[in-house]
Amino acid sequence: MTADGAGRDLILEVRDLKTSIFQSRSVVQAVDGVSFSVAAGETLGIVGESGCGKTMTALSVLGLLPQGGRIVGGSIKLAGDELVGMNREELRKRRGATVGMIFQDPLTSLNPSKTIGWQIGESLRIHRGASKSEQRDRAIELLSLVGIPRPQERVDDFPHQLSGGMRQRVMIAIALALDPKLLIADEPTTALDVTIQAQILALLNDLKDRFGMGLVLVTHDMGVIAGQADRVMVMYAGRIVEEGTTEEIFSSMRHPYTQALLSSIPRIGQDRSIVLDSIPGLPPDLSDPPQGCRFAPRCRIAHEECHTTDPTLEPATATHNFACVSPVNGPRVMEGDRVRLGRRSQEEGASSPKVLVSVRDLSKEFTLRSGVMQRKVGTVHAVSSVSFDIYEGETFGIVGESGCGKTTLGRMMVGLETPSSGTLSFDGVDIASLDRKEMRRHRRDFQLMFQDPYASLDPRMRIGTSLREPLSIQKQGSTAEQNEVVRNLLREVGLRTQVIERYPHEFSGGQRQRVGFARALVLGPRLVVADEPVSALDVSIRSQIINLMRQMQETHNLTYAVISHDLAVVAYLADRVGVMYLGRMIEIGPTDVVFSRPAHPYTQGLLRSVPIPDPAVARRESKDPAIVGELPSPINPPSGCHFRTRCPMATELCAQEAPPLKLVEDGHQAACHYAEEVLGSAAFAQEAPAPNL
Amino acid sequence: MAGYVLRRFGQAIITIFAVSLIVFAVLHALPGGLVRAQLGQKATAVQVHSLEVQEGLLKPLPVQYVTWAWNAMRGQLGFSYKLNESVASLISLYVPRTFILVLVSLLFAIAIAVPMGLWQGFRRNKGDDHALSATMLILYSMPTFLLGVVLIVVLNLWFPVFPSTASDYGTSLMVDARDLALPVITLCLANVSYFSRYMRSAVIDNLLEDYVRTARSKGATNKRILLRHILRNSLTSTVTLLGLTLPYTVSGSLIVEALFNYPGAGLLFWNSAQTRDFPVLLGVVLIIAVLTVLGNLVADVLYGVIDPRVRLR
Repeated sequence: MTADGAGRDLILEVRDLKTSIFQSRSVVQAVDGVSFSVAAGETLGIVGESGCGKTMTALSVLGLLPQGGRIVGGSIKLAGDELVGMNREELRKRRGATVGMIFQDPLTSLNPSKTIGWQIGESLRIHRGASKSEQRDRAIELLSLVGIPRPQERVDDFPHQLSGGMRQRVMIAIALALDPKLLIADEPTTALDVTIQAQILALLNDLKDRFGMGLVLVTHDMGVIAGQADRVMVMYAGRIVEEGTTEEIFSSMRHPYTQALLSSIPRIGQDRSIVLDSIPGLPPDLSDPPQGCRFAPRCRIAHEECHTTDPTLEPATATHNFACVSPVNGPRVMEGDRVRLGRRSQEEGASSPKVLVSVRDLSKEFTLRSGVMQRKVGTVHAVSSVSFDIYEGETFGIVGESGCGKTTLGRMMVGLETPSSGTLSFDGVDIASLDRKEMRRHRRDFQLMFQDPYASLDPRMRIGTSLREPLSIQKQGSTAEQNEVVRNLLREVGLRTQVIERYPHEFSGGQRQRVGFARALVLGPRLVVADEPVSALDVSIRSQIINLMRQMQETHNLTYAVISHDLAVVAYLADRVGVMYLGRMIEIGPTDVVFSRPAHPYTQGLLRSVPIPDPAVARRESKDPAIVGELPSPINPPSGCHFRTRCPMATELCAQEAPPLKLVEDGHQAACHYAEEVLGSAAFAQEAPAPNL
Repeated sequence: MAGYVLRRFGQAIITIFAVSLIVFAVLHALPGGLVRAQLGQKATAVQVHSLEVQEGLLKPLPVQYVTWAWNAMRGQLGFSYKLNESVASLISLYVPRTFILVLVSLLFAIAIAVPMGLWQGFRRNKGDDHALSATMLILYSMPTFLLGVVLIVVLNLWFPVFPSTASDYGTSLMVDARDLALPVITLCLANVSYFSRYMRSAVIDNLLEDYVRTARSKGATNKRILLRHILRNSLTSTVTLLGLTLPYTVSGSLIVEALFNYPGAGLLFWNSAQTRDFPVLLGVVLIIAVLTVLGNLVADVLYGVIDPRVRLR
């Protein structure tokens, strides 16, 4: 085994790795000449958009490539042993023993019909022939190591009995069962809520330090990378375009791709009027990669040479390499292009704005039934007694973790769900009191934009027909006029009009979300409820859609309700924001106020859990997760304040009395008995103004 | 788990009640009524009336149903005037033979189909998989009676291994186990083709699941992945299928028993249908319905045993 500059043992050394996926008609060069190494106790982050080869690189190391995948060249040395060309049996013996792996979705990654104890102990059975009781003892030991309470009782649980965060802890326990020297984590927190993400990342980091493992962290999230990685490798189209220490990559990047990746992500606390950077187009097809630099077709500053010369990795410093013939120097300062913000913030101080949506004491309960007689066994209060207003022309953000009721609230706002109690009025009309016919007429005024545009478009209907459908249902105009509306709208959302003949599967994710957006706008609504509009998209596409939403708001005079778990997206888009926890609205106010001076401990913790894409800030913050524990069951929520079980400030009063929303300062309401103290403590100050670096 | 079984049991009771209502209704909807069916066209009005009084047929229908159901529960299903024997004793003689036939053929079908489907799924689109799939497709598309005839030709006429007609059973449950061979093989092959097809696709689906990748990342061997991880998760869909195919297998046994002259409930039904012996026909229908419902109950319970997620529901 060789050592790195700091004298640490190199656990993984990859040289010129080439991995191809052989399909029936083409060969995809998924990984094309990648070299890197990982030392003991070090975290290497691999970032890039989906399809850039980061997961294939990780899977190549373990020999877990999908069907048709094969390593066609290069060398992988694991703890000194060459893996390329090694016979299958020898390679198998290293999986789970020398290398452990953690995958993205902890639910599907665990066998549903085996207990978690069995699944953790299995590696010991495979590699050491351990007995049943040895396996069980070790499983209990590992469960307590990864922070699962009462491991003795949980060891015989099945995966479906655990929450998402607990399942990911089990996955980590499986990967650690035999004290591997190297841990590969592929998007380990992407499927998790932000507070749970912070807990899992802290756990991984702690375990890595304690056992001196090497950690390869594959992620698309620059925030996660900034807080966790020692070194970063940026991949594009199967190649490394830049590598260096985390500091170097974030503060003095040389490759335009790295620069664009960073400047296209919205940040909490940034100037909201500045248009986000975005990367046009799509990553290239790797079965037929373009000549010259692979990023050139999408590069902002590409010139002729870029399309002909294939750049190689060149050193910038001893630790920093990049592959670009016309490198940039550090982060891009976004300026110039500005958008007009939502009308409310612009006209603040002027005449009082008009209320478009008014929600009063709105509740939605779902009854749980069970048994032969379908007896009522419980009630889920998905939304309980929520009140707020949305002003015409503004963007109202609704944030919260999964299960907080934000989606149900959104569905009620567009009339897809009937409220159990309370009122919801749109432009003065009580939506719940409308009959079917009136409701149908009103539907054109409020539309929903879905998270997954693919699942929400009929796969057997041409785009043109799908888009025209709302118009024919509402009997608006002749077919020719309807087609004209659709064509104009497609042009506005940045698609060519010829696409009306195509089917949904022929579009890329970003194009599909444009279609989904067009579908929401086709009836000329006044309110668009966007439920996780960009969560399913890659970073570069995400900023395109966000910019488009901003632009359309201006031209079409739209009011938005943006529902998201992603605080940065809401911080950038929304003029005002409401924070939800277990069905209750716990804080409402202007976005910049709520996000810089939160008055509720939950909002405070939520903000502190968001990974900040700036290593300087991420390092300064404490590594301890801001919110501990899991989300309580919505069937039996805690008495009084629902958040008290996870709140550091909770007192006896919180258990007895549910705090109502109260005004803490102008336009800023919070539901906490100690809101003034939280606000006054200034314990939380958004330390990352990071105005686009 | 207990709650789950109890719920399924409750549903089974309701189904059996519905079946009994239908059987009772058919019994009373017969042209000329039950008495005419028994006494024939030439009976006099006096004969008809006296039998109607004797059988309690002049009482209100709900009362008659309760009497009939109570008798049925005690095993009194009426009397076959054609065979001059009580329906209950006929059923207790013939139905167990069918039960053996169906049970043995299903057990063989599972014993063959599960490993075969597992292997085919693992060797997906390789030569042996294609060969097995083609064979199974031929068996699957062949009607039962044709398959039976082909088996008679091959295993009885060309190579006289098994008898093509059962011996005289009289009142015994089984005389010669070899009599069962051809009926069992015929019923079993049809099911094997069906089950293995399902098993194969279940295995293919499961092989693509993320948990298989996790098992590989632990260093599990292919054998271990197939037997310890895939097998159980693939069995769930096959077990559901088992419950669903039970009625088809039972009605398939009717053809098979007639073909091989095997004296089971199918043959009894076949013969009774030809002589319009309604009490026997309906008695057989009721018993088969009850057994099918119970069979499905067993399949549901097995499903719960295999899949821990079901137990909690």
